[in-house]
Amino acid sequence: MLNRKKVYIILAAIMALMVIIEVMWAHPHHHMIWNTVPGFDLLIGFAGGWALIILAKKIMAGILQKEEDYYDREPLAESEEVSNGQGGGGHA
Amino acid sequence: MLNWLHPGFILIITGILMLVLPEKLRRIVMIAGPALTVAAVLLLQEGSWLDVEFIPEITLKLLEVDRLAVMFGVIFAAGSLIAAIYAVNSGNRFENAAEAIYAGASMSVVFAGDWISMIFFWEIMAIASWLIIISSKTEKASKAGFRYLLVHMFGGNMLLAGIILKITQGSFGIECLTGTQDAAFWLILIGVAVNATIPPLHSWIADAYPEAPMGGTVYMASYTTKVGVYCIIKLFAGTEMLLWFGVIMAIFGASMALIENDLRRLFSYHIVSQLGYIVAAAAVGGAVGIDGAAAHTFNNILYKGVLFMCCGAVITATGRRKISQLGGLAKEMPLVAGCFLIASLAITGFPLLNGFVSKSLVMNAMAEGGYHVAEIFLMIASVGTLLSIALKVNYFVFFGKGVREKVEAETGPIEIKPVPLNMKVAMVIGALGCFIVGVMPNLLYGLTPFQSDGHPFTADHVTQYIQLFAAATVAFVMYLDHMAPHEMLTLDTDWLYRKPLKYAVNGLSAGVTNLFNSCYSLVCRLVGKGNVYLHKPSKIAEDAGLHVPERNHGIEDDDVLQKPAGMLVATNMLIGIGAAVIAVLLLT
Repeated sequence: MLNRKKVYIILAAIMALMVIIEVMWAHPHHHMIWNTVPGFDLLIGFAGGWALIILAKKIMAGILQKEEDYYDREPLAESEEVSNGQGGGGHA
Repeated sequence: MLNWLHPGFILIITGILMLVLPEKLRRIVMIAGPALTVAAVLLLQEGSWLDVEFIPEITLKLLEVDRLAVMFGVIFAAGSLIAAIYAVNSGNRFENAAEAIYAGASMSVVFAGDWISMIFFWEIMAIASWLIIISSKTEKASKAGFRYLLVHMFGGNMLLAGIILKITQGSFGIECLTGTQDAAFWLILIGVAVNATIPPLHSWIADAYPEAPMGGTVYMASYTTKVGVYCIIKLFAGTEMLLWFGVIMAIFGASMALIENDLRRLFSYHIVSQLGYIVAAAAVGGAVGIDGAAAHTFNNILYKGVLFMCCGAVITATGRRKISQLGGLAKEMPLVAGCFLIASLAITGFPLLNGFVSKSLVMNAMAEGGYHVAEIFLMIASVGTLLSIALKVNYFVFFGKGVREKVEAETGPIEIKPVPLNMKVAMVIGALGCFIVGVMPNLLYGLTPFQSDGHPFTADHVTQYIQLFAAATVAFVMYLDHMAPHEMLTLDTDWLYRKPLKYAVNGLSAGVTNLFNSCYSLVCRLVGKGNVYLHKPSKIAEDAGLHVPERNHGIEDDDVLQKPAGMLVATNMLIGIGAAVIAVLLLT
């Protein structure tokens, strides 16, 4: 599996470097808080990432995910076949 | 100059030729046609070149060239060339013909200058793309294709209704509808929204694209939806209401991709997500918004093409299409993995690749328009793209350590067949395109309608994106153990017509059938009972308990003798009923 410690160290180095560059050289064209405060994008990235993971993996997966043969199972069709001998021609 | 040379028609003729040409010649024409198309687009000059009188008063403008159309024409032509190289060794003549005609019809919609030619090629596009889907020749594909066709016929009819309204108002040429808000506006918007996958009309994409053949999916990823956003840009630029639809698409698409297991369904949701940026930028409008939308569409065709090509290569090589059954492919398929890595970083918006260049324009449009909340949400959607493609697919399919061993323990060893050379060539061309546009953004900015400059390589832009991505990667690594996709089906709005609507229609038809059946059997029983008496009238007396003298003694079947009398009575009764009905009708 992934060596997490190594990944975290590399990412931390990249993040630190980016913040330093932002402080030294960035001239924001726009003046919202994420443009002006150095490193604010880190917060958006981290919080946004977690928000999406929770939204998708916890909320949406719980509501929307079904067994793979969900659309192939047809509980109604069988009972119809039994109930009328000549039926079946009617449904598409 | 060759201004009358319609690039779309070249592709359509290529397609028709492919139906008749022998195998070897067909493969040559399949590449030569799109190559000629690229040349034809580059030769185009602004103006209206192919005006044909349809009926008096209505002139069809088949080739109306403006900067926006040329930009779409260039990428459509380049896309068709790359896709043709990718698909050249696969598919039968019908599939290849459908692909070329589909690309040509899409191009013709873009260059159409009047409503009638637009709807004409729009419908050809829908039919041709349906033919591509069903040429997979699987049961799943034919079912998904049928649903695809129904959805697109619905969209096409809405568009047609809107166009008829427009024409009856006396407006023949295509014009921007922003701010009109009449019935034609809404009808055309619904029609276009189906193609531009604006929720809730988006679910056909994840339903149909995964079932098309590999080469066909690459074509489909480039055209239907892009023609949709072309119409959004051309007809609805500046329609503010669409901004939030765009933002929802961007977030929703990325979230669905996070939980999706089927590779091509995942990429289909990413089309929705990327179109979200385009729709949002078009909704903001203005020079930067329109340029951002157009530039992002251009780039989207490039990197999305590469993603679908790599995915097709993986599926062709392994025969597996689910992420949960793949892993560690980078070792055996380094070129595919490399192209995929480039395209996945490009779609994320990584600096030095093309997505970054056009996302800068889109973000500038948001910031300059003062839509700061939308800006934040689009940034979060970028993070979602990173998580669900650049990290999830790269880790679980290509690069992750130990993923392969785990998968093979469950599903048996992954057998990898070699990927054909033409597929590799197409992928490399696409990936190079992503890189070239990414390092030389002025190539792209020069093509846009208003030639806005996104100034992508400023310290604040570059640091902003790398910070976003680095921080989101931390979140991904923290959650990695639970990130693997499950073998589950994710429902979408197509559920509405695949379950409740289906049961409603089936129930209705079963109900009608049942009602009919019970009426029929009631009539049968009555007639059956009646028949006995009609055949042998003396039975009435017998059943009533009266004594019947046996006059026909000695004849075994006395029905034969009694039947004519019974039938006479029956005929008289029928005539009497008929006369009564007529009398009642006449009297009332």
